[in-house]
Formats: sequence, C-alpha cells, structure tokens
Amino acid sequence: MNGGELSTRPPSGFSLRLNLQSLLVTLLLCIVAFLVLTPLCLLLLNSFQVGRPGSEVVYGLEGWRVALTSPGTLEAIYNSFSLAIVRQFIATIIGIFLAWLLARTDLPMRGTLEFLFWLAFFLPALPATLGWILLLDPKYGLINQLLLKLPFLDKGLFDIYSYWGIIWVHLATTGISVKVMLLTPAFRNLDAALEESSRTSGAGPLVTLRRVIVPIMLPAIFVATILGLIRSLEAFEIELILGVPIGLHVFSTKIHSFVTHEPPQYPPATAMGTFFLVILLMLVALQRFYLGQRSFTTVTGKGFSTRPISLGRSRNAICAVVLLIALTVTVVPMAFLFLGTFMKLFGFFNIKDPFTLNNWKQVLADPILVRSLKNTLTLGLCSAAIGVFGSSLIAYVIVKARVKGRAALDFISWLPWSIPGILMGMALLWTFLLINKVIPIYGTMAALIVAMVISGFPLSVQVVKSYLMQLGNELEEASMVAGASWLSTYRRILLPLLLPCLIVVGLLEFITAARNISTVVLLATGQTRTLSLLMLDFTAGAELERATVVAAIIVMVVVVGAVVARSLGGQFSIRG
Amino acid sequence: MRASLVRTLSMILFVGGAFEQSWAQPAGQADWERTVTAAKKEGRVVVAIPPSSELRQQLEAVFKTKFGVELELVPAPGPRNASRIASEYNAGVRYFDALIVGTGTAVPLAHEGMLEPLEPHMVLPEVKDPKNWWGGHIWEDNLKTNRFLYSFIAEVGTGGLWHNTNSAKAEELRSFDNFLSPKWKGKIGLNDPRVPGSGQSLWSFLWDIKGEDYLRKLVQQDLFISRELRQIGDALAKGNLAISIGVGYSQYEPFLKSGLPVRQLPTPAEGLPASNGFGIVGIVKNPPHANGAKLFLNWLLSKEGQDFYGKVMKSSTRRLDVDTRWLADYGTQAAKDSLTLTEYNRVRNHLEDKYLKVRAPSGKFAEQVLK
Repeated sequence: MNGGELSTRPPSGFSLRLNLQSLLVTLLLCIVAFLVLTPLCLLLLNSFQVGRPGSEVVYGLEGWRVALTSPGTLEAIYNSFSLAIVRQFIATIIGIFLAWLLARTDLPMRGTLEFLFWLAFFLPALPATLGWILLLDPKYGLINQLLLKLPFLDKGLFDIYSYWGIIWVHLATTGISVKVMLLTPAFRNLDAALEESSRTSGAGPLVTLRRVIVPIMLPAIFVATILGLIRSLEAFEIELILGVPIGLHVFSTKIHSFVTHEPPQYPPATAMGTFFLVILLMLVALQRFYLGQRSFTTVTGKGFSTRPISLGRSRNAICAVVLLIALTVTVVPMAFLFLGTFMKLFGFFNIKDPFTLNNWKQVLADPILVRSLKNTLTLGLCSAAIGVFGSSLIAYVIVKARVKGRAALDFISWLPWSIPGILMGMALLWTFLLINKVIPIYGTMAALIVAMVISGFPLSVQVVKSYLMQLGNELEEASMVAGASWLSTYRRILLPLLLPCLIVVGLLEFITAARNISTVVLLATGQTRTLSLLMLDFTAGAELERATVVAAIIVMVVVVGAVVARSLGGQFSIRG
Repeated sequence: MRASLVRTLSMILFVGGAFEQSWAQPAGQADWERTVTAAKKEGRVVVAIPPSSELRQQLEAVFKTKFGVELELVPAPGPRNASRIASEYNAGVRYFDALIVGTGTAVPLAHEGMLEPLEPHMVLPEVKDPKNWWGGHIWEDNLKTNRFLYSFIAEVGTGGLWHNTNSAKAEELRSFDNFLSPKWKGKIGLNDPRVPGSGQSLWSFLWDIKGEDYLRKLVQQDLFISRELRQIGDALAKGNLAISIGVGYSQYEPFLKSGLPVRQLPTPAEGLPASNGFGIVGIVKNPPHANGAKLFLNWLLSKEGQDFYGKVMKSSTRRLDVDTRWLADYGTQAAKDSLTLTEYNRVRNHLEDKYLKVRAPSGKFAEQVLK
C-alpha cells in the first residue's frame, strides 16, 4: 500500500519518447475533446435558444426559468437522488460480497454463477420490468395471487408500482449484476499473499474481506459506485413504467417529458441536463481527489498468487444462496420475457387460449427484422472494437503517461454521462449536421457507431483505468530493462494482464450498443434501424407482444456475444 | 334575345370547360408518367410517418411492388420527426422527402419556408380535382399560407371514451358531467393532453365546450395520466380504471378480441370532436428525391392510396370515392358520412385556426393544472 510513488512514476524509458508522447496525447486529447465537447457545447447553447424548433433563433433565459419553476421539479430531483442512493447502497454491499465470493473463494459453480450475473445485466430493462409486473402487480401479479390464498391475507403483499418496487426492479436487472461484472475481475487480480498474511495474523475470511480486501479494492469499488450512482440518476425506463402511474417522477422522466412535448421543449430539458452536469462534475472531482491520494497497486512484479479462500463446510449453503440470487435476477425475468412472447395479450393469463405463435410468426415475417439484426451486429461489433481500442488508449494515457493534459482527458472522458441519453442523441444530431459538409456522416451507420463509442467512453475508460491502477510499473520496467520496446512490452506484458478486462469492456460496448435506444433514436434512419429501435416501434404502436419477441431476439444476440466473450476471457485469464 | 345570349355563353363555357378538361387529363397523365420514370431513376424516397409498425410494414411493401421505388420510412412521433427535419433544414442537410403528421406539428415548418407548396406537385387529375374531396381542398395551414400541408382525414369519434363494463355502466356515463361523480375518483385514465394525440383532442374539446372549471374538477378526480396508451388500456382491462379518455380502438382491439370487459362508450350528450388524426401530408423544401416525393404524394392522395391508408390506420379519408362506412365497426365515423361541413367546422379542433384558438391554449392550461 505504500507504493504510491511507483504507481504514479512512469518507467524511465518513456521519458525518452516524451516529445512524441506529448504529441500523441495532445492529438488524442483534441480528438476526444472534439467528439465530446462539441455536442455538450451545442446543448448548453441550445438551453438558451428559446425559439420554437424550426423557427427563428432567439436567445433567452426562458428555458432555465421553465426548468426551475416547472411543477414537480424539486420533487423529481429529490426522488432521483433518493432512489439512486438507496439502491447503490444496497447494490454495492451485495455486489462486493458476491464478487468476493466469486473471485476469491472456493465457492462451487463460480464460473456458472458469474455468467448468470452477466446475463442479468444483458436483459433489456423494458421487458424485464414487464416480467416483474406479471409477478408483482398488486392485483394480478402471480406471486400476489398465490399469497392471497393464505387465510390471513386479504390483499397482495407486494406492490411493484411503488418506491420499493422501483428499487427492487433496478437491483434485479442491472443494479447488482453490473457490480458483480465490474468487481469480480478486479477482485480476481488481487494477490492472495495479502489474504494469506491476514489469515496468518488470525483473521477470518469476513474480517479479511472487511479489513484487507475492501480497502485494497476501493478504487474499483469507488468507480463502480460512482458509475452506478451516475447511471442511477439517469435511469429512465423503469421509473417511467412503474413511477409515473403513482405520480413518482424523477429527473430523467421530467427531461423526457420536456423532450416529447409539443413543440419539444429543448431549452428546459437541456437546462435540467446542465444541472446533472454539475452533479457529475462534483462526483468526478470527488473521485479524482480520492484516487489521487492513494495507491492501489495489487499486481506487481514480485510474484502473484490467486489461491482461493476456503469457505469450509458452509460453501454449499452459500452456493445455494448465491444461486438463488442469480436465478432470481436472470431466469425469472427471462422466463417471463419468453413466456410473454407467446401470449396473445401480455400479462393476461385469464383469457381464453392465452398463448399463440402468431407474435413470432409476424415478427419473423417482417422484412425489416433481418436488416435490423445486421445493423445491430454491425453497430455492436464496430462500437466494441473501436471502444476497446479508444478507451484502453485513453485509460493508459491517464494512468501511465507523464504528460500534461491527462487530467483534462480523464475529466472529458466522463462527460458523455453528464447528460441523459435522449439529450446526448439530440446533441449528436446537431453535431453531425454541423459537420456534415466536411464529414458526411449524417444518416449513416458510422454516425450511430460514433455515438455509441462516445457514450460508452465513461464506463469503458473507468473500467480499464481501475485495472491499470492495480498494475504496478515494475512489470513494464523489467521488460524495458530486458530490452523490449514499448510496443513489445504492451503486447507481451500489459495486454495479457488487461485482456480479461478488455473483453469485459468490449462486451459492455457491444451490449450497450445492441440495447441502446435513447442515444441512437434520433440518428437512425430507415436503413440503419437496429433491433432495439424496432422494439421501440412496436412499443410505440402499443404492440407489446411483438416488442417482447424483438426483445427476446436481442437477448439471444447478447447472450451469444457473452458466451463468446466469456470463453475468450477464460482462455486468457490471469494465472497464479 | 337575352335567353339566347345566355344559352350561347353557357355553350361556349361548357365546351371550353370540356375542352380544357380533355387536355388537362392527358397532360396530367403525361406528367404522372414522367414522374414515375424519374422516381424510378432516383430509386428511393424517404418519408417520416407516424409510429405504426403496421403502416411501416405494409406501406413499404405496397409502394415497392407498385412502382419499384424503395420507400424508406422513419416511424416516430410527429414532433420528433418535425424537429429533426427542421434541424436538417437549418444545417443545409436534406434527408427526408416527405412527412405524414398530426395537427399542429408541422405548421412551423410551413411558416419557416421548410416545405414545398403542394399544388404544383399534384399531377394526378383525381388528386388535383377538389370535387373528389369532401369540403374541397383543406389545408392544415389554413390561416395564411393554405398550400403546404394537406389535410386528408376528417373523422369523428376516434380516440374516444371507453369503460370497463364490470366497473362502470354505459348508462352512468351519458354526459361528461357524469365523469365528475366521486364514484370515479382515481378510476379515470387520460392520455396525456400535454402532447399531441387523442387525449389532447378530447381535453381541448372539453376546454372549448365545458371550460376550465370543468377541467379543474376533472383533474381533482385523481386522473391516471400516461403517454403510454397500452398502460391505460391494461389498467382499464384489469379493472384498475373504470373509464379511459383518449385511447382509441386500435389499442383496445386485442382486448376486445380476447373477450375482456372493455367497451367504447356511446357518444355523450355533448358530442365528440372531429379530428384529422395522422392525416396531414407535406413535402420538404428541395427534397433529395423530388420525383419520388411527388410520386408518393400523388399515390397517397389517390383513391387507391387513401383506401390503403384508411384501412391500415383505421381512419377516414375525405375522398368522396372511397368507402368509409365500414369504419363504424371500429368506433369511427367519417366526417363526410356523418356531418355537414358547417357542423364539421364547429366541432373540429384541428387545422391551424382551431389549433391556435383551442388546442394550444388548452395545452397550456394542461401544463398548469397537471403535475
């Protein structure tokens, strides 16, 4: 833990390439700044543009006034923070415990269990939420109906349309699973020598987890929590479905309400987005302040051991509990999602002949399906490839390079998350239109790919960054001393260590692109429509049953991607 | 002598008119054929349409089969497509050729010169001739410009009033005043009137005929307000709601087919507004596929196009040569089958004049009273 200087001091061989390095970093900074700052500046500018869309440009403060005085704004902001903090608190505690069990102990079926949590993360939020409604609707939910058979109950025990219903669905979809996804590989990189020392000193597994592992893993935990908090503040679909019927509005549903207004009220929407930007800046500053004070190197050149901790006789019981959690967040919503695809009327089991194959027949016969599938794969794979390359480059510069501007690069890489997806899509639309005469990208698949790469930066860069911060410089220094070039060092030392992380990043990019609706909806055309937008079409037309078929196809696509990524990750994982 | 002069003049005018007509038709036909050939060369036409997968799927197939021209459709809510077209226009980019929207959405585009005047693009005689249209040519931009946005639908009763037959009897809801009964507190669903749609149409109708006090009382009934029509439909079918306002037949059709207890309410004592649904078409200024846009416009407004569009969207064309009586089965009546032109102008709450006088202020009022 006292290797702070090591982690911030780059290998001496790098100083010889300082000029070239500075040039490359400047170039990288310029590209990233252009891609990220242009849309944000346009958004900020448009928060003052009060003319009706398409009409004469008029600047003023009306948008800000509307944003601040609109009925329910303060309540929505309070709800956003309350929901976000509560569920992050719960998800982080459960996530740490699960990640530790999966990465550091001899828990049976670890690989399968970890994969199940990955699957939970892949499920599109909309159909997963609908699946939970089928179970927990206060009046018609299957679980409530079963409970009503108990003699001492006269009404359903659970109500999905509630504050805690929203928390539950978030935890069961991405809340816990994303923590497990992000933290498990980081926990795996931990040198077992630290645990062994703790054990030798007489500490039990839980004390070791609390007093040794968690403090060492704080950067990864902190990044996961900050990322989770930001994404929670931006969460939208679940709140729209479960919150709006009970009058529970959040920040993002207010923005959505402004954007879908007639005429669209972009000034108050972007003004509210700016408020979110301020929150993000504070969280990023907090993170930088915290991480800047400490060193978190866990993988050094001094040998590396990953021997698992024994859970003793309770391992099977713990395995059963983890399996139950994993199945609850995966099999339950997936089963209901697939069940829903065969229903004549989603959610209505009490009608005559409730099941049908027609939904599948109709969707499979729609010629747009194949085109949308191709577009989804193109978008997912290209975003993953470019995102992995770009984010690893940016993260490397931020963590390892000794040049000016890396703090700016770090800061800028967070910014795409400073505004909700729908506003980001709007800002990118304006950006692409602005540059279209020089770079004719508008209306092409490239526009969607660029959009997804930009919106994927924060998560990808932070994930790679937290990995790199765990890697000491001795490995690179040793390689340099042995005469290897930087490229060779990167390829033979860093890449194998980073590979599991890069695979996770690639997968995240792929899945985010495959599922994304809000950022790409304004950029897509009839030719570049993806599966998620096809699902949106069906949903907008109130054809929920066909929408669930498309959702099921999206799940199948991402599950195949996950299996491939997982098998690659397994081959290249770090060995003790 | 005078009678003879009148007869002679009439004869001249008649012959002249017939002569002109006989020339006009071949000229129109030739223009049409040139348009078809040129559109085929362009190969594609891009049209913004309402969010209906049925329309997207069928329109694409029909148009491609008939003309061999690819129709790229961008289904989305009207405001989204309209603001995208405006953004494109301001940036000097042209992607869309034409658009189909609802009332109020595209009028700013017309005022800002972002649309083509349509009459020069109407080449098919059956489209050009106002006699083929109930009420003649009716323009959405009917206040000043009268040439950019063609309103081809006029109907009554769409997006109306529904009830759950287990929770509310039709006899209990003969008038809008009945909706204020304490019995229905927390039991009424309303399609959000702050955005364009059938919810706004009914809200503005009530604002017009019953006033703001009535609407305030209605809001005090703890309305379930949503922009997700399926959410309201589900709630009504499950009995969580007893009445729904502004959700149409197409949303309830699967519920009806499944035998669930939802039914359309009979027209209340105060009547229902006339609407033009998603029945407005326009062409973007200097479209990238000018001939394709012209071809699409003429086909859409032809007898065949209107029959097709009406059947897919369950909406009532103003074309007099298209049968619309079957729409009664879907809770809709064509204005041409049920109203006089005077009645239509009294109860309509669409087209620019009524939009500005009724819809826009009622929408503002909704902003004030709804959270």
